[in-house]
Parts: sequence; structure tokens; C-alpha cells
Amino acid sequence: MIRLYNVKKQYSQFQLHCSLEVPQNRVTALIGPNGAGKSTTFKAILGLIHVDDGEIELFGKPLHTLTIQEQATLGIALSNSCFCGYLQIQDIIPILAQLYPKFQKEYFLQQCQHFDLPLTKKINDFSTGMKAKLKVLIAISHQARLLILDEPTTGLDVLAREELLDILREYMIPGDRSILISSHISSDLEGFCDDFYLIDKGKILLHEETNILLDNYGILKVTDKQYPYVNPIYLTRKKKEPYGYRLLTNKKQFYQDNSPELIIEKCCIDEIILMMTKGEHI
Amino acid sequence: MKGLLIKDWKLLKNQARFILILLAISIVISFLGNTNHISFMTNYLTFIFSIFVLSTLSYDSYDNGMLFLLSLPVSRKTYIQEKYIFSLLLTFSSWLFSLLLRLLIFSLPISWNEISIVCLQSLIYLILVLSFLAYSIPLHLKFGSEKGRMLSFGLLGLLALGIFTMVRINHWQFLLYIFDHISLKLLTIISVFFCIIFLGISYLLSLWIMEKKEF
Repeated sequence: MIRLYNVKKQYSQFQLHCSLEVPQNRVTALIGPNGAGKSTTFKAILGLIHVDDGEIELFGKPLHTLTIQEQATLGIALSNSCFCGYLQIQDIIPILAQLYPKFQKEYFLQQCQHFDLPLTKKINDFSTGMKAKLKVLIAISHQARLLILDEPTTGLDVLAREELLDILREYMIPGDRSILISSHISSDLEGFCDDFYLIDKGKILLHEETNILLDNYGILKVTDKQYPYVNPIYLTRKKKEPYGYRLLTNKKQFYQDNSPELIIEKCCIDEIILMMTKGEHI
Repeated sequence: MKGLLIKDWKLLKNQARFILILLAISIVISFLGNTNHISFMTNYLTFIFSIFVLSTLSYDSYDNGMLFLLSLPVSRKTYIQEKYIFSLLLTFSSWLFSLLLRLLIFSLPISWNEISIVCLQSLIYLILVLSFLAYSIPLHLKFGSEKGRMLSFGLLGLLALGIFTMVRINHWQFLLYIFDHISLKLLTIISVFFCIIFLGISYLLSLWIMEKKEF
């Protein structure tokens, strides 16, 4: 559905150099700290910036050859951008109906009611959470084949986040759709995404399946004395801590089997981001 | 295209109260004032509506809005085309309304000859307003709303200053000579021609700016 190959974009103090792929029927997450290049990658995929080099394909076609009809099969929610705040939901319905041939007005209205989004209130007066819900509803209300969601759950409370993720899970049911999503809330991603790309300083540091990441990756907590004796073969990053070292491994089982004396913890996405971006390469 | 036109129309509708107040003021001043006041107020209406076109550009870029608009199934070219079509539709309809207001309410009874003079004078005013938009739209696209607005009105001020200076140093005589020897009709035709050329150049320039722009 999406393919980026060696995409490069040079800014004065930042360079994006990224390759990634989102196949059909997959939910792929792009994670990384602030300023890592997530939004720039999204902008490159949407043609909002001109890349210096590389290839970008959507639906198997180069980005610049996409027709308006094909663009209408994309559902987009960007983190800090929506319709003009002086409009109301009742204003944007006819706009969406004109822009998207498959716009489902009834479904959209139903979901607005479900999420308590008032039709006759200016978007400017919406809370952050209400805006976030509206953006996702706009993205999913026209039977898009591909969703590109940049921080869609920002500003939502835990219940609203879960409801929104349920809607996205429902969206994936037909089996021919895909989602590329970024989020700061890693718990959302762990239970929802099939695979992850970790980006930092414009470069992809890691690409892994979620189940492999959660099952195989682990954190070893070792003292200064233990550290020299730990087999480094499956260690990828280390980070100095007051008690010694925190080590990231992609073969947790190996250390559980061979070094039972070590403290080995399960790994979550936040740990991975921290270790991959702040830890030293081993 | 139609979706974008609806968006701008909805934004215009949200300004309905401001527009109604403006209309009321125009009508009251026109009733109270002399012919010059009537002419000024009706023309002023067209100008205000043309400024609203520039406001829609500001609304679009407000809060990173352009990012979102261009992520919709809308090409950059369509966006520019829509802006110019909306400009023409809005300016022409407000001009027509102003002209009818002037002719039907404030200038009756009137001879056919006077009607044609009023229409031609009004048409030249429409051309001036369209010319203002022609240079303002690319400026807004290039420099953003704040700087674009300052540059647009700055340029308008410079133009007024230029004309004033010409009058002061007596070069105005040259223009008066031209006006004496060219009929109002011919002047209108020439103005329409140059306005179309000007709008065409403006459209191409806006398109070029938009294609180069990053969001």
C-alpha cells in the first residue's frame, strides 16, 4: 500500500533518510521521540513536501501519478491540522460529500452522535479530544483503503482512546485495508499494530513485528560486576544506570536459559524507544 | 473543486452578520449622502467582498490548515483554480449587487445615457478591484496572511502615493490628455483586456508558488 525507498529530505539541521513499507491488511506504526522525523515522513508520503531523492509509492504507483479518485481512497488524520476552526461539523459534511464519492454521511453523523460531537459548534471551540475524534471520523467515513494517522489519539482519555481503536479495528475487518499510524501512547500501539518502524534523527533504527518485539525483546538489568561476563551476542544497546547497566536484547530467551542469575524484564515499546535512541550501540 | 467552493461559501456564511452590518451602513450612508457618497459606498462594498477572498486564504492557512486541505483529494492546481473562480464569482456578484443598488435605489429617475456612464465607471472600478486581487493572491500565497496583507495594502498605498505625486508634479496633464482623446468605452475595453492579462499572469504565478511550496 505504501512503499518508501531511500527517501531523502535535507533541512538545515535535519535530514530524513527513510525506507519503509506498509503491505495490505497490515497496521504499521511509526514510532520515535519528538523531532525524530515522523511527521516529515507523513508529509513526504502525502506529497506535502518535495523530497530530494528516493521513491514514494502509494497503491503500487509513484506518488505523483496518483489520480484524484485514488487520492479519495486515502483517509488522513494529521496531528496538528484539520478543517478551518471557524467551520462547524454541519458545514464540513457537504464539503466531504463533494470531495469523497464514497462518503458515508449516515455513518459519519452516527459516529458524531456517539462521540458527542456537536454539529453546530465551531471546531475552534472543540476540546483537544473532540478535535482528535473528528479528525479520525473524517478519515474513516469514506471507505478509504489506506489510513494515514499522525498521532490520532493525542488528547483523548483512556476510554475515548479505546473506543477509537475499536473503530479502527472494525475498519480493518474487510481485510484489504491498511493503516500507517504514529502515536506517543505506546500501549495503544502494542495492542493494535502488526509491526513497528522506529525512527530517530530521520533514520529508521528498527523494524520489527509486534509479537516478536513483545515476546523476544527484553531488558537485562546487570551490575557493573556482572556486565563483563554477559554474552554480548544478542545485545543491541546498553545504557548506564546507577546500579550498573540496562541492556536491550532481541533474544530474551537466550539469557533466561543461559544466565538465570540476571534480572530479565519484558520489553515495552517505550523501553525500546528509550534504549534505541538514548542507549549506546554494542 | 466544488467541495472547496462549498468550504469558502460556508466560511463566507459565517461572516453573514458582518456582511449585513456592512450592507446596512452602506445603505444608510448612501441615503444620507450625496451622489459621490453613493458611488463610494457601492464601490466600497465590492472592495470589501474582494478582501473576503483574501480572508479565505488566511482561514485556509490558519492552524496549519493548508496541510489538511492538501491531504484531501485536492491537487495544488485545483486549489488555485478554485481560489480564482471564487474570487471572480464573489467580486462579480458583489459588484453587480452594488451596481443594481446604485441604479435602482439611489439614482432614479435616470436617463439611458447616464445609466451607461454609471455602468462603465462601475466596470472600471470592478477592474481595479480584480487587479488588486490579481497581485494580492500571489503575495498572500508566497508570504502568508500577515505579510501578504501588509504587502498588498502597502502596494496599494504606494500606487495612491504615485498617483498623488504625478498630480503634484503636473504629469497628470498627460493622463488627462489621454482621457480627452479616448472615449470611456474604449478605455473600458482596454482596461478589461489588461485586467484579463493581469489575472492570467497572476494565476500562473500563484500556480508556480503553490507547486513550489512545502507545508
